[in-house]
Amino acid sequence: MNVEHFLARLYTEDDLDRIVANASPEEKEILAKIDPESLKLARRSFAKKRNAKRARVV
Amino acid sequence: MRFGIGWRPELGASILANLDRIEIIEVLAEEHVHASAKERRALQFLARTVPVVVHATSLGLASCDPVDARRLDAVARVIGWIEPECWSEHLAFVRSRGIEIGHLAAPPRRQETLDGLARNVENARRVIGSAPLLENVATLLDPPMSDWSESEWIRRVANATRCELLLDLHNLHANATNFGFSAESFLREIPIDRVRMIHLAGGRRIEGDRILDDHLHEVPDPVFALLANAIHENADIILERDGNYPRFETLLGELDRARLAA
Repeated sequence: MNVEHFLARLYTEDDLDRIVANASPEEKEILAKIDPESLKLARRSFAKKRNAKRARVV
Repeated sequence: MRFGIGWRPELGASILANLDRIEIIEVLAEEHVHASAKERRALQFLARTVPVVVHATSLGLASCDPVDARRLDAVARVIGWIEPECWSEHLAFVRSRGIEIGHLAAPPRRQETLDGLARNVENARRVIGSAPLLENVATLLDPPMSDWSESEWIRRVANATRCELLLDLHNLHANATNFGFSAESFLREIPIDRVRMIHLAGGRRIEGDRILDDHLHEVPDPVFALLANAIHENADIILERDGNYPRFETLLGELDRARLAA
């Protein structure tokens, strides 16, 4: 499986609970290695960057 | 060894007024992809006046996926008309199969990523005409499915790509704090003689006593302390500041402090 793609989904998709609930065995293996608090902070940081970029484009 | 600053439009007039204290300027490639003719002439004049290097953020070289050809062409065009001394990119991925993350994400540090990076660097070298300096990135998430420590990753990157390195000391300080390793040991473990450029920046403490590398704050003391250990005689030092700008004299003071530390 493509780890980067799964990380990109974790970083960007709104419904994190749905990703976790529907995770494949390989994805569950990745999730087990991720600190949930760090993921939460990373998602927030990436969202801020995306919003700042959109604001610049507008 | 030269000391300089990242070009930002908000700082432009102050930079131009203080070129006696700024020896090198770093220009962000993606900010000038759609530059007007006037803007191009201004940057070309700048590059004839003071040494300029170009910094890219959009390529996502450290990825199993191939670099996006249109983005690579766009960066190549900017480098083509600025004609910088060199250019740099991050050891990060920024998208995957149509998903744009929006910023620099640390990839899994393992062979598959290293192979993808080497392919992407070769492609970039062919299209742009020179290889990038490769920069370590800050991350809040220790990349899962990694087989190597960050210093081991940097060592293998330098060997596999033959690229020189851009060492961001605040990224190192942030990761060392966030993941509990010694930044000083990291500096002993990487090929310091391959470091051609150094970034200085600041960030802030967030939840869990982690450090967020936001480039909006002054360079903290531990980063200056690392500078003395990271210096190679051929390395240039660039101060990065992306907003929350203080008086320009404060930024010049940070450059002076870097000169003293080096």
